[in-house]
Amino acid sequence: MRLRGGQRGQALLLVTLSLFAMCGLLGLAIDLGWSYFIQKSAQNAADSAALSAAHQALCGPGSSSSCGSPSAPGETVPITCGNVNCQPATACAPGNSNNLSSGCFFAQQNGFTPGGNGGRQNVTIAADLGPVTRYQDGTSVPPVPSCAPGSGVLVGCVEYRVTVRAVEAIPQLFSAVLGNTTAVPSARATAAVIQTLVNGSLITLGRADNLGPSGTPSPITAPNGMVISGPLPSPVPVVTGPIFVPSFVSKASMGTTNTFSILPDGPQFLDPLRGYGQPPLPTSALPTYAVIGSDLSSSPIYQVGTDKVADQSKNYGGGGSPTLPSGNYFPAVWANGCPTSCSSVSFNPGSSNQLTMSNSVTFNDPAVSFGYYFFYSGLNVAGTKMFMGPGEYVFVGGGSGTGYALITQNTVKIDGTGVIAIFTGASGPFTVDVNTNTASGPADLYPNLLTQINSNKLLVDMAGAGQLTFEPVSLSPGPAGSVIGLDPTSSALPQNLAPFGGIVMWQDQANSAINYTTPVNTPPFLPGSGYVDIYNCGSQTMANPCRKTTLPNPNSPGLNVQTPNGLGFTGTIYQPRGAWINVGSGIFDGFLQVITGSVANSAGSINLKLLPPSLVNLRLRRRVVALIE
Amino acid sequence: MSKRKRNWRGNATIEFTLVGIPLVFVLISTIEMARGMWIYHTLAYAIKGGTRYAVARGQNNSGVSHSSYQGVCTAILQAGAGLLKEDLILTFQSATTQPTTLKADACLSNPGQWPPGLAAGKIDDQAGQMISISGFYPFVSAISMFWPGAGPGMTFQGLTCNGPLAVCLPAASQDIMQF
Repeated sequence: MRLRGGQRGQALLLVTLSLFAMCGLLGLAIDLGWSYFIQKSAQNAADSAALSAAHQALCGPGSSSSCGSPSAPGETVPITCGNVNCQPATACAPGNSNNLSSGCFFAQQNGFTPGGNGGRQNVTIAADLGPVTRYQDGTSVPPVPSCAPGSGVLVGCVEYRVTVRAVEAIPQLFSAVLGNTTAVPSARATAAVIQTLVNGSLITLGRADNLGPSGTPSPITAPNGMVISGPLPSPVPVVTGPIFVPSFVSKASMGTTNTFSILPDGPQFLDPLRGYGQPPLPTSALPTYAVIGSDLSSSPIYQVGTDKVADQSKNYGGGGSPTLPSGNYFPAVWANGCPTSCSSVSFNPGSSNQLTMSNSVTFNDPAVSFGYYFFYSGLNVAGTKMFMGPGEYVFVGGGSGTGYALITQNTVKIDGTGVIAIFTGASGPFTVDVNTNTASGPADLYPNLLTQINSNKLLVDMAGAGQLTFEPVSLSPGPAGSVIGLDPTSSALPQNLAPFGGIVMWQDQANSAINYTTPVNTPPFLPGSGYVDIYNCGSQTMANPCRKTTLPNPNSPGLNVQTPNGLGFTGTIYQPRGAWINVGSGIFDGFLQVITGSVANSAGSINLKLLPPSLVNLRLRRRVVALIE
Repeated sequence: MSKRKRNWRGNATIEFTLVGIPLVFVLISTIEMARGMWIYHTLAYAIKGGTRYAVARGQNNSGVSHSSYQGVCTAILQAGAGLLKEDLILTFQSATTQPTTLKADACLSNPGQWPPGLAAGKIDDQAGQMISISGFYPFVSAISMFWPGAGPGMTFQGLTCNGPLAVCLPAASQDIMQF
């Protein structure tokens, strides 16, 4: 009896003692498991709140899916604390008054509010312009730099960031026995608006009348990929590099020659330059230079309105190889019996009188760090060398009838740095008001072009007489050299051209066969054209947008590329409609990204090399919203 | 009465012997099942943590991802409290490359970039690309002692989950590169 009773007491003691250990184990299982669950929930709430707040900073409050659509150009508005919200870490207030409160709404939907769950939760939201230091893994990752002007960083930098912290204190059940009464699982997430690189060496938007690559396909080398956003070519060209197609293309139609991937963008590739409008021209009048005899390298050049007629032999930079300043250039003849009794000049139109250069010419204005050079009636580069200093080179029309807006001959070498060549067009005639002596052009004339035309009576007369005809561009075989696009990191680059950094050739959108909408966000981007119009013709697709049928010259401002071996374009060629016509049998190559309507390739081949890391700032960029921490 | 009592006492021992064996089996099974699920959830949480790390790592200003095998595995082991790096088998799959399978300890000493970027001639690290990480972790259950001579356990791509009686617990996570 005594023995038995003693055994009973032992069991009680053992159970009592082991209860502490069991509570510890139970605590490990139940309390720690519960903490993990809350931590996961907090992470979800913080992720969704931060992503939503950053996304709505980019695309506008309340529009969670409108980025990239023609009606929502908010993504091109410059991001400053003035038009999005910046604040230090503050308790979240769910609502829909701005992008941050709207982000807090997402935290609320995921079960986290300040003071929620009996006062045990807290959610804070902070927002600011970059840079961002990541905390998750200590010091192994450098901070994400800011995109702020002067930082010299344009890719992989943060323009705006939102950090959300979500926390909940949970009372402990079993761990409390061991003295641990509260656990505080917390999570933090940072989402940011970031500038990132655009994939694709060759991007066919499929928005030309000639849809998709066509002709006998020649080999295309596109190491960063070819993006085909439109009907697939038949037969499929041989492409070295990945090919991306929109998800509406059936895999069966892809053929077996190449490796295809579905675009990560979604159902449509979004033109990374959508919504920015066109590269702006200067808003003030530039001096006008009459080129007597039309040869820029050897003719007398007369600054209209400034130089006296007696200075008719004045040649800016002298004969031979002049250095020419910013201004409007047009071919002219002396009027009224020059040279004996000259009193004025007059425009000398015609394809045979388009501006030419038979010798070396340098465009570089010592007075300004960034020049503007306008060429009326076309430019025929036939000399030994053309050097283009940093600036905008605007080709306004071609020689009357058959002249090209720009034609290069196979004897020429063209060099340039920080250069953008703009090819304009016009959809209708100019009219002239004789009382005010001003011209007015069609509504969709290139923005601010009239400012230059109206800067001088001769140019007004030329427009009024219908002598500005808009012709395509022809790059002939042979020219050699190196033309590097706009340098977006240069301090000389005008701020309103910054979004166009890296572009080396730009085709007028407004006078393409594709209708573009006018951007809502005018400043600092000048009005002109914005998004591809898919709403005003009933077709409602990006692949088959609204079209113009009334262009006087449907080839303008088209681009014929006749395999100019060795012409080293570096940057981006933007030709959103019309075919990239590769005539001839040579190789077109360069460190290039090409955005074009379609590719019509002949016996030649296209080799678009990937821009090296030292030139990464010339690559196409776009804004994305991303979780970075 | 006393005879009956003695008989009952003997019955209890026999009954306990009869009932106890399956009872202990059920008890051990319950505990082992719970332990297995604990390991599985830890593994799933760790893999999810590693995937989130990889998609949110970002690129430097040359467009090169900061994320590496090393970094991802560190994140996985930090999130997966108690997982042994010698036993964890990981498979990394990015958009355009063949999957890479390696153990976590080898992964920790591999500084190679993942997902591969331009340096490797790939664009798998760029925004919008899909990545996926899967993990296998051995679970040697005490239940297996009820089956002496049980099979060699599951193997995965030639790698045996540590020990002959182990079951490979799988977990996978997929996400889109943020930046």
